[in-house]
Amino acid sequence: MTGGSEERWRKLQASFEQAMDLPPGDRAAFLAALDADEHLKRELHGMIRVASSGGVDLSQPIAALAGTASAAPAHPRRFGPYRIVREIGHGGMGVVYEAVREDEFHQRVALKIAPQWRGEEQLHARIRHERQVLAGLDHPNIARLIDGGSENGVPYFAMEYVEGIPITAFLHDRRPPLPARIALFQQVLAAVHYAHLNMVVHRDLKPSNILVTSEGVPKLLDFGIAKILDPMAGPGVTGTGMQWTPDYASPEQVRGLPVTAQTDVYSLALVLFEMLTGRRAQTADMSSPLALDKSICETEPARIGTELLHGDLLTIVFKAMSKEPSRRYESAAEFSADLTRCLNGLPVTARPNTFAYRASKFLRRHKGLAAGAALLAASVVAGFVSTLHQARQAESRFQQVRSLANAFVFDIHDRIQFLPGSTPARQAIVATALRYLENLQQSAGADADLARELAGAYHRIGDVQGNPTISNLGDRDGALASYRKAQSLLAPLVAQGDNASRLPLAGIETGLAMVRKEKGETKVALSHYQRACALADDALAGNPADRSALHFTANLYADWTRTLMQLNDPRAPAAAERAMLVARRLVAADPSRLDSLATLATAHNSLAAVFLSASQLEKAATGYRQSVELRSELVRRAADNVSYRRDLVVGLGTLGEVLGTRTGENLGDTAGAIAALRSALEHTRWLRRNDAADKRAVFDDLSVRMRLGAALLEGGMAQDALGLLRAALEENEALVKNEPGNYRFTVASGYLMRKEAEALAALGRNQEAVGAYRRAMERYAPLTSGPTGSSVVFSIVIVNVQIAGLLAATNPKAALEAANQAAALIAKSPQSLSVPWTKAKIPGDLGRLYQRLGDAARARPWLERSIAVWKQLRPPKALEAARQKEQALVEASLAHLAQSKVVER
Amino acid sequence: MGDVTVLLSRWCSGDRGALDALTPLVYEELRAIAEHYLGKERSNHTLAPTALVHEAWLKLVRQDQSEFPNRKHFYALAARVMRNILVDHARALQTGKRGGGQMTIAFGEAQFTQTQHANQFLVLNDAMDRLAKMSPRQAQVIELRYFAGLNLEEISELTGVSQSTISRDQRAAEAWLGQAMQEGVR
Repeated sequence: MTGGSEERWRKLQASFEQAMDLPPGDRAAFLAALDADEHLKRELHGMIRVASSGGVDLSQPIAALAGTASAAPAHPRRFGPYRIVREIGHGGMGVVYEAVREDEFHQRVALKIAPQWRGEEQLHARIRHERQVLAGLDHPNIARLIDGGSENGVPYFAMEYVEGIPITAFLHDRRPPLPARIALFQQVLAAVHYAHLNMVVHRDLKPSNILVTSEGVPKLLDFGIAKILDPMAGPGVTGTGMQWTPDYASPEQVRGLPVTAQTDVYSLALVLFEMLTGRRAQTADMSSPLALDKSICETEPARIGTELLHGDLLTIVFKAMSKEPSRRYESAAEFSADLTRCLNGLPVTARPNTFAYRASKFLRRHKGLAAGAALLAASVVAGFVSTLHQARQAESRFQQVRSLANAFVFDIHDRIQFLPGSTPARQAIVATALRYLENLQQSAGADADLARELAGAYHRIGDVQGNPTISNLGDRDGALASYRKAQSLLAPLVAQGDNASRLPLAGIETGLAMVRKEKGETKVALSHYQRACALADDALAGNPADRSALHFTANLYADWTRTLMQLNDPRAPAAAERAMLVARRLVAADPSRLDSLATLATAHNSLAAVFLSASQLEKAATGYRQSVELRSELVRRAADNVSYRRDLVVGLGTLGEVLGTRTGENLGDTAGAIAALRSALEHTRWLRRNDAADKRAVFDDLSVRMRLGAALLEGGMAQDALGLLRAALEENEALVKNEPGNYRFTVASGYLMRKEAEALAALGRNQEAVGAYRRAMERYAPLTSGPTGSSVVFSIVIVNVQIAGLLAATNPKAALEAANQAAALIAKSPQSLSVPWTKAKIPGDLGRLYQRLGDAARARPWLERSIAVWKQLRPPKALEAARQKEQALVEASLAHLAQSKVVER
Repeated sequence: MGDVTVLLSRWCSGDRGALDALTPLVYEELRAIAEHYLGKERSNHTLAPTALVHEAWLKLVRQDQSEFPNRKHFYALAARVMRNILVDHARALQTGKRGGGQMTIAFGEAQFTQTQHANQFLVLNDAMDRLAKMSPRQAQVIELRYFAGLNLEEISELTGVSQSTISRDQRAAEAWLGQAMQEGVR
């Protein structure tokens, strides 16, 4: 075997396939034009000739040799009016051939012929039976009967030849999304239902009997063991013995019980399971009758949700494959209808009719009525709470009520937490849950299990109240109180060496850290993080493959990285590396899980942030891009999930900054930045549309618009920028008016006004620009002592420099005043010029302004200060040209100053 | 028959030595079954080699409650063994001998047909050897399909190649073998 001959085969097969795709008349020309040696061409010509004359039957020479006593070939070349092309399959039923009718139509058919080597009448009868069944069926998704008869006493029939592959193989090759898979399956259901209406039960439904054509049309085949139900006869026991395929057989088939339409429903459910998971739902154990019975009548596949099969869909599939026929859908049509309801987010009949289930579906459809539903939910839980009091005397009832209420509270909350519009409902649930937990704690005593359970509950309540990484209710102090309760329950257990409490306690410490950080108490946050990391590392060391420990630890280190970076702590890169390491292990352990991918995205993000802070922009952009790709994938797969979408928005925003909007530190890719931000905008729009009460969505939307406005300005699209910025500003001003003390909204207004002014100035509307700058200044003025005071001061400096520039020609006096104000502010707080680029740029602009206003004495020190910084500045490559231009401008001004000095003398 | 199951499991988990020990066992069983059929004079009763392989499986392994994946490995092995048995059988026919050194009784017409079948089979076998030199995967697909009777789905599971690829491979391989056999006959 040489590499050359393998190469040769590849060429042969590829050319052969190309040729066969052509109309027969074009093949000779194709062959002639082919760049290949004569020998290959001759082989190819032979192959095409063989294939176009109906192929070759290799089983013939083998069977002929094996059956040497019989002079007859293994299969007839002709049968009745048909020329046989090849054998498609054979079984106890007879043989199926691909054949061509030798008349003017040359129709290709699948020809089924009763076995000739066993002249048993029973088999002949069965072929006639199948022919009779097919004759009564006319449906686009059932292989049609074309012809039938008998030849020399051997019955046969011809049916539509289906050129397709088994439905599962089709999905494996094409990998369509979930709705397309369900739609394909519903066509199969429709065909089966049609057969049922015609009193025919297939009884052998399996992927290889459901072929899908290259156009994506499913076709049912092989009604060989189908049963015609006789409504008059009542259910009868089949007398044909084991004909079905064990891996797709129903319990009633295995036990020889009556077969009904529900038998097909069962087998179809197994097929759907396989279509969605790629795994067989059942595997028949053929080692003994007992084992077979057990494997089919008792064993269910694990009821674990997967990427495609979860939630209502999982329930539907499991209902359809109930071992008890009466618990399945009554018909294939009902099965199909429930699938449609599931795709449309309506309640499905497969669900137990619980309040929580119906409430969550109700909320999904009627977002405005969420509060009403929440009240209802709260009153039910309140009922549990009062029962709890009475139940305390009798311990067993206490346990019952406790687990019931516990499950109920979280059942409702978990079902609605990602639902848009659910905020009021969640508030009501939190209030009720806290009351209930207090009651429970009073009755707890020293029970460790109960303590862990309570801690878990407090943890979840705390998250809902104020965990900034999820969609929360904004109650930070409430969150801290809940977390502390959980901490006080768990810490003693960990101290006593309880390993199982390590990870939960680490979770609590992380919660405390995050809320502290959100409150601006970074130092305290850091100490919580440190404790959390130590606990998580211990937990992971004890169990290195534990998925939840891996998941938790990766996220924890990513989060810690961010906090360390905010504090310029040198431990940040090491923490980021650890996050990546653990996240990669997590994804390697289970690559299909969405939350694993989310964790890897987060880890990419924190490492990228570390690169960014070290000014390694290319590496940072690569990391952010990887993170954005993973997150887009998550949103594609779970479109309703608010947190995935929010993370994507943040990722795109950061990517946009690195690409083109970060002052003095970007890759100069303005177009890329605009594209990323526009994409982010689509997602913030979605978030807002779906939950008007979600404040974070509003703020995220505004920040994206701010950045997009800045990017558009950068890209020279001032008109577009102006429209966008003004709309954002209008909305933001409404928020400021609503909450006058809100720092973030006020800073945002100042920024938007500043950018509005820049856009106006770029459009030559100087007067209006000055007005906008002055309004921005009003917004900034009260904020200089706030948490980001120095950046506010910087903004005021910029605004003054800009005003001075705009007024220099028309109103030198006002311009000078503004310039002086800027100069005074820089002198007072030099740290406001935090970025190297602005350290050079602002003094340069100020110097040139003074020069324009004729104040050479003031101009010189600013220009000199600027030139010193420009000279030593090493910006990213993309910004080097801009740096040179800026430096040249300042140098020109200095040269000019020197000249006028000479003139003065 | 316990050792066959054990050997199969060991082979499936990567023990090549187990294959060496397994082959003669399967060969013996298949040869015995094949001899039973091939040596018999039957008028209206032929049995495909694929059925022989299945019978060997039933005799050797099935009653030993072995697992499903083993079955496919067994069939892969048996396909190769079956092919060798048929090659021996065909060569024996060509040289006028039957298995066990028994002299063939000349039947005139019937014997002529036998020799013709043997020739035809050996042409196919030779073509398959040449195909395997160019493309082992395609040759294996043909072997599994025609000597062990595995269907598309089973071949796909056994080889880890998608069904559509196998289907395409089979079509091209059959066309190639078809033209090779026509060349060979001429």
